[in-house]
Amino acid sequence: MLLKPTLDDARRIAVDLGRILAVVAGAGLIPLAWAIALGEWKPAADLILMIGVAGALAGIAEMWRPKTNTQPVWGHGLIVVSLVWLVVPAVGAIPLALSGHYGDLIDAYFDAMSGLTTTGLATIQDLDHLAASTNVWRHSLQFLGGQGIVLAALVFFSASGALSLYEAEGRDQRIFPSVGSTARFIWLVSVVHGILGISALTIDGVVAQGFEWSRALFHGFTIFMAAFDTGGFSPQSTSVGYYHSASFEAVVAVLMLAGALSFGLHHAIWQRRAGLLRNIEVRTFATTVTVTLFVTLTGLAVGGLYTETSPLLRRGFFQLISAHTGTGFATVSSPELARWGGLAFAGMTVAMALGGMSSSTAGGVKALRIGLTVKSVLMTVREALTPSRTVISRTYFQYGRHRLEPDLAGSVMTVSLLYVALYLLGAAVGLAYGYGLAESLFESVSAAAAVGLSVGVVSPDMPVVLQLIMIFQMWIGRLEFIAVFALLGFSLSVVKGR
Amino acid sequence: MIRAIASLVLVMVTAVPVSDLDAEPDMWDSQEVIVVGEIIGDFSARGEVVWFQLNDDAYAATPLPEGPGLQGTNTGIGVRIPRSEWSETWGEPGRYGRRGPIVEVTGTFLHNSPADQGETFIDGSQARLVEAARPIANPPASAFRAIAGLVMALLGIGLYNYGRRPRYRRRV
Amino acid sequence: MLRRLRNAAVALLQGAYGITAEVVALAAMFAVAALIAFLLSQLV
Repeated sequence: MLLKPTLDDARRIAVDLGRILAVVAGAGLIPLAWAIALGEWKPAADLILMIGVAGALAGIAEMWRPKTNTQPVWGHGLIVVSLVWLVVPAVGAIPLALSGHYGDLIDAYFDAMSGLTTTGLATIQDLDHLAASTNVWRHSLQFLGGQGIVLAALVFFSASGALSLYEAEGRDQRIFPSVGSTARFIWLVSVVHGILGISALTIDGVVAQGFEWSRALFHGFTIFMAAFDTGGFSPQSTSVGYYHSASFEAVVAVLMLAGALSFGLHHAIWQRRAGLLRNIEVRTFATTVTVTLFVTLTGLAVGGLYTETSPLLRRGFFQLISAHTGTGFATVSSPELARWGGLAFAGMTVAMALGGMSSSTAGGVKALRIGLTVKSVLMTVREALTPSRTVISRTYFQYGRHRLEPDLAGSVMTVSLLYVALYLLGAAVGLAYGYGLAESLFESVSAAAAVGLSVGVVSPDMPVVLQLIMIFQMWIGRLEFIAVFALLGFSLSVVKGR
Repeated sequence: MIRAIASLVLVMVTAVPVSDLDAEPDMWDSQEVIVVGEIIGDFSARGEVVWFQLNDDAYAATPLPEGPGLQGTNTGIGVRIPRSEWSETWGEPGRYGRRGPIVEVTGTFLHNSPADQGETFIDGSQARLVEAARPIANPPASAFRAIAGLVMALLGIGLYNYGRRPRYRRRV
Repeated sequence: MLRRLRNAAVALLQGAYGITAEVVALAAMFAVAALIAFLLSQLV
């Protein structure tokens, strides 16, 4: 029997939603400071409006707090998180929509969702004349989304049901016993990468590229947020290709890789723990990178686009790392990427679909699920081939040996299959609109796995239905399905519950 | 103004649009071309050469706040010219609030150039200023939005504190 | 104050170690890519 949620349940959900909006309002101060420093008054006013809307909503939610202190509804955290990821883009889109660089409100919402889910697909027009502060806001959205806004809120408020909130955002492992200290560690990793990453990018901008230092800092700041959070927005329309610099690309590649590593792995590396190379996630990620790299480079060489070693290496390697980590930076233009075709296209699409590690900022099926799926298939085969009395060890190694229970294997395979279905959904809609199979699939995977590479399907004049489907793909793909299902269940219980 | 636009249009007619280069790069590879457009973003001065991004989209001809509205995404190409061809009198590159200098670059279009690790760009030999950089008048800041935002933010803080007030007073 | 500074320094040092590990990992991948690219450019 479905229980009808009470008004207090809704209020409790609103309180958590409000606190997260308070964090968004606070984050709006970063681009606001930038706007004031540069004297960009129009964007400053738009940002103040956004901060006001977020702040007012947070205040109303807090005032509306339930009077009694009863247990939250089942799946409370999941419902909050899935709503957060719908509401925050709407609020975050305010300065974008008012910037005058978007054709309509759906475009602005699309970009805010793309930013928050660290996808990086964009429908913005005349990006090259966009205010620096608005650009900083776009990238702050990526940083917020990548870090997990809920996680951000956990540092500031000790929310009730913190654990369920934390897990709902697609992070299954806690590094420390308490969620608060785990959240603080994740922010520590990001801040340390930020200090070193922004410095490296800024220095490269000044020394290798001869930029003015203030501009180099702007590029370093924005590119860092998009790279470490595997987002893929860029302050210029030509993405990382704008810089024409191998050293800059190298720093970006390190940051993209860092972003695709799980925070648990970061912790293990920082603590210099032994046995990391035996880790199932590390092994799976290394294997899939190598295989897709081989396929992509072979495709490029056979296709005749890059026949000599250095272009093949620089273009192919950067693009593949960008795809596999779910970042979506490009050093070749969209029409050029569309010409890659054949095997190279297949290698890139598979790399995007697989994605980074779980509990990272990357999207996609993720290395742990792939590793466990392969492992459980191999075990089943081995069991079938050996005499029935032989005991086969059903274990895997991840910071210690664990048993691969049938329940775990089942749920892992279910989510993997759901991803495949999500990829096919977008591709089918793309096909229906007359795009080719390869490009429809590429773009669909790019959205659902939060990558952001584009061969030209995503544009300001793309069909609205396809755009809405992609918004849905980014949302559900980032939250790894379960939170969205909980929201659907909750909505159903509102209508049909007793 | 009209004369300036007319001369700009005239120059753009003789030039190859970057969209053509994008569409059939193999046909244009290693050919001498003339491109005209707005320098955008930054000058990247590296030793004997200067790199910059040259946009030849609708916004280069008519900046967004002055034009009929949005005209799609930016299109442009990376350009490398000898430092001797670059001049400080061009003005700063285009950004928010500034239309960058319009220049005419003569050079070789290189597609996935093996000698440059696969870069696609114009290896310019000559550059000529067509029109110097100039400010773009962006719409003014909306006082209404700023005040409404401030009022709502203050309201939010007030309501938040009101919501968190102690609910049950202890009896003295 | 002094303890906070020390903690920050320790974190930065641990982070630098972590980033070094990331650089090494990326370099390893790049080396594999370089080998593949070299072989391909010879074959094709």
